[in-house]
Parts: sequence; structure tokens; C-alpha cells
Amino acid sequence: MVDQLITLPAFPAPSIERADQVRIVARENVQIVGITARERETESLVLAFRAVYGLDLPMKPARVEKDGLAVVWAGWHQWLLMSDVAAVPDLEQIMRADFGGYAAVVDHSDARAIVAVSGRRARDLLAKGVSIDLHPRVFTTGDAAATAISHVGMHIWQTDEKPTFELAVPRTYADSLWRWMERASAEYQNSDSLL
Amino acid sequence: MRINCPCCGERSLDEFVYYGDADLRRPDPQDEEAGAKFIAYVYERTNPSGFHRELWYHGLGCRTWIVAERDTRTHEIYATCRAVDGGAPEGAAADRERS
Ligand SMILES: [Zn+2]
Repeated sequence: MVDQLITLPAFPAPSIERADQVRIVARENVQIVGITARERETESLVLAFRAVYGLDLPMKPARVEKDGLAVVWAGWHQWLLMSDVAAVPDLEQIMRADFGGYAAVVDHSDARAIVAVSGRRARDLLAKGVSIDLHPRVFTTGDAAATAISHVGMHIWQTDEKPTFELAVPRTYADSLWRWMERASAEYQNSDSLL
Repeated sequence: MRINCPCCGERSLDEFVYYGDADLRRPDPQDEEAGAKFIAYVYERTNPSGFHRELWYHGLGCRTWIVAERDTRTHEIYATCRAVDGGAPEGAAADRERS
């Protein structure tokens, strides 16, 4: 799969830095595989996945991670699995070999692009384009959601308390999202502005 | 208006697409009166003032089809479920009349 689109950058720059307030980083070279449980096979899939990776596939919008493999809930009995290209050469092939009997396995690496947004103004920035509440009272590390940013469908999840959010959007929207990020974060230019 | 998606929780209306009456069933094309029945199926709607079972698609979310029971006068939503869990519409309507 390494000769595919995933080897080209999805975003026009590696990062956008806004002093110490918000940092936007293109997460390139992430393999993304979607799995959808076959009818009446969800239980078998969950058991098999637990046996092989020691992870419980979340049954609600959430993210779990172990040994470099991340799992994000992506809809009813659907999940996105992610790992770095460098760590695992062909995630799709591995997943199909392990779970193909219980789930439809599809490589999404060329279909989606992931951007990480972190820092103390990360929530303020995202609030400009996301309609769900990301306040730590209701959305925290390990939470995930399928929603939209600036009218673009996306999956979002929180990975730490900095806080860091990661957003997966259709790859063809990566440029558009990046420009949105540039403009929407412009007000966080100076570390003492808006304090 | 906010709709409680059974998968995602409460979400803004603009994440959903409205698809109308949830209780329509495609007529049998072999039926003797298939023509008239298809016209009714495609065009005729009861347009109720009050309780309505309707389909919504959570397109900018989990992409699940949802059945919402909504009051068309107040936009109050009494219940939502995944369309595949919606059960027979006749049964649901009968349950409602009994209760
Ligand atoms: Zn949903």
C-alpha cells in the first residue's frame, strides 16, 4: 500500500503554530482501516479483537489505544483502526486476515486525512466550526464523535488533556480544512492576546 | 430543533436529512391495482397536524437512518430509534393506540 496516496502529504504544510496558544499538526503517514461488523457477527468480532489486541471495540462514541493501534468508534458496529505506516506495514491486510470473517475490512488511508489540534485555545478554535459541546465536562480524553466541522463531515476524538483533539476529514477536504484552520486560528497569533 | 440520535446523542438539526413518513411501504408491483397504489405511495401524504412517525438520516454524523416520533405542531420529539429497530409500523401505531 505504500505506493498509494498516503505517501503524499494531504495538507499544504506540516503545522500551524500560534505562539503558546494553539498548535495544528498534519498527521501524515497514518494508516486508517475501517471495519464494519457483519450481520450477527458483532459479538464474535469483539471477542476475537479482544483476544488478539487486548482491546474492547467501543460500542459507543469513544477511542481506545494499545501498543500503537488506535480504535475509534465510527458508527453503529463500525470502527476506524489507525497505526503509523512505519510501525505496521499493511494494517488492512493484517485486519482482513484476523477478522475478515466477522467484518468488512476496507482501507481508508487514501480516503481520509488526520489533523491534530492542541493547546489551551484548542477548544475555542474548534468551537468556531463544530456544533457539539467539547467542554471537558461532557467531552474528554477517550471520547469521540462523528459530526462536522465547517460543514465538512468528520470524526473527532480527544487523545490527551493538553487538550489534543484529532480530526479525520475526507482527504479531498484537507486543503479546505487547513485554510479554515489558518484563518480561524489567526487571532491566537500572540501569546498575550485575548488574555 | 435538536434530534436525539440513538447512536450519537443529541445533535443539531443541520446534521440530519429529512425523509418523510416512516410508515410507507412499497406496494407489490404485481398487485392488480399497482398503478393506483404506486401513485398513493409516491405522492399522497396525510400531512398530519400532531403525531408523526418520520425518517431522518444522520448524514453528518454516524450515517444511521432514524425513526423519530415528532409532534408536527410543537416539534417535540417523543422518541427516536434506529430505523432497523423500528419494528413493524402497524405494530408501533397499534401499541400507541392501546396505550
Ligand atoms: Zn448519529
